[in-house]
Amino acid sequence: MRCGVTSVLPHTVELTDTVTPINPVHGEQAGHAIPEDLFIPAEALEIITQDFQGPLDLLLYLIRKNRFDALDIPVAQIAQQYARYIEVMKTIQLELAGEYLAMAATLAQIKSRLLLPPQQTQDDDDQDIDPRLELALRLQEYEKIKMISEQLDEHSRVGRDVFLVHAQSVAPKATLRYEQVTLDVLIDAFENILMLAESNVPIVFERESLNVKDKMKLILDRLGNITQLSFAELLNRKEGKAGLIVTFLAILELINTKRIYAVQAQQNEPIYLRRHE
Amino acid sequence: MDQQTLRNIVEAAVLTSEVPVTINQIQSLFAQDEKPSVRDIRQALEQLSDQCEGRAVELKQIGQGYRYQSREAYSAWLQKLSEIRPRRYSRALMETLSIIAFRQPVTRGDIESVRGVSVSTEIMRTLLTNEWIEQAGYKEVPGRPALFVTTAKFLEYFNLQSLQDLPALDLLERQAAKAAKEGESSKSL
Repeated sequence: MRCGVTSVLPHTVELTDTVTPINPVHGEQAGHAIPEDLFIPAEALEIITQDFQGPLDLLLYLIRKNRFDALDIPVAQIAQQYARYIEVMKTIQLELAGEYLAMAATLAQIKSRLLLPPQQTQDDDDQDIDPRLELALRLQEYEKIKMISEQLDEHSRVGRDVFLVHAQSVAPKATLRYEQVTLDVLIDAFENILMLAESNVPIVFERESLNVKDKMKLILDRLGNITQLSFAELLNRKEGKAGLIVTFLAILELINTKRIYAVQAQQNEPIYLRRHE
Repeated sequence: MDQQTLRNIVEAAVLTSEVPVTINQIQSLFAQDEKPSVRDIRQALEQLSDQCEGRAVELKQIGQGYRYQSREAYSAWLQKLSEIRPRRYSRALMETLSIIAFRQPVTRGDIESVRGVSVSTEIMRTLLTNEWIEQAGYKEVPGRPALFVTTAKFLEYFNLQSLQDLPALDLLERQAAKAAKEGESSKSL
């Protein structure tokens, strides 16, 4: 790949002049002003190579830097510069990815194909296309993605440039679907309340008749005014353990005689008592 | 149903939803006999958008859905409100994501051939965990490589109504069309 074409051929000689590609990729544009200051100090190169996203990116950089048309790549010159970069990368102990070498090989291959006369023996539908075209198309595709990627990066983003507006919806209770609870659930809930009652030591006992019948009537009376009673609220811990048991028995009795029923929206949600219509 | 009531329901739905709400979703909120037409919903959304005029928030279409969001002009202040600093993503990640977005569905091989370097597993994992991309079947070629596409969340995060939102794409497509046209005419000569 270090074939030294630039030193042999004058700069003005376009490679396309030496061969006759069947599909010329471009209009003739001889005489690119190739800048002489292609050398980049090693320190600067290190920064540059870290910044490159791969061999295509480096190639694109070289083409843009020299202001070549992507469709009109003077392969020999670019290959030479490319090789020089790889040389410098090696000397400064950069981890040299195989992809860069592969690209150098591709460039060298394209160059050698351009030096050979086009094969005449091939069929019409198997035309010998300019080998630079494929590379040019790849470069164009990569450049396109690079541009899109930069725009996407700058485009407004949630949490950086725009912030979402969100209102809390107050879920109406009506949307909850209540289901009748089983005895197990009631007993579990009662046990919890009872446990809490026992842990609360100083309890003032009020003398009141611990009568299940009275309690039943009380519950039904209260349910006469409102649609539902909270199970947990009904079982007032202040009543003490005995009082709680009486209330619970009253509830069970009312459920058993089908005068009230217990419902719950879902597990661990409050239990409500409702009167049968 | 009068337009005012419909507009209020649409506003409440868009405001309380966690994700952009589509016109179809709004329609499904109503009982069969009082479903508003797509045109009425669209009109309600337009009116809501007009109502945001001069305010710090706007109604924005993302993909098929609609959401309320702050206007970009207030980002400097709002950034200080959020505890999480916006993450920066590498060029390699953005390029990989761009290839998937604009050339989808693609295989890892497709991504490699565009970028000229092997695809980083780390990058693919980040893209998948962020749910910006997802696997969408396999390419029916030897080895059956997985095909990747971008998701609705990708549009949501990058605040895009559609992939056409990026001006570069439009410009590039037009350039390509122009080039193709020129190619045609030169061939005919």
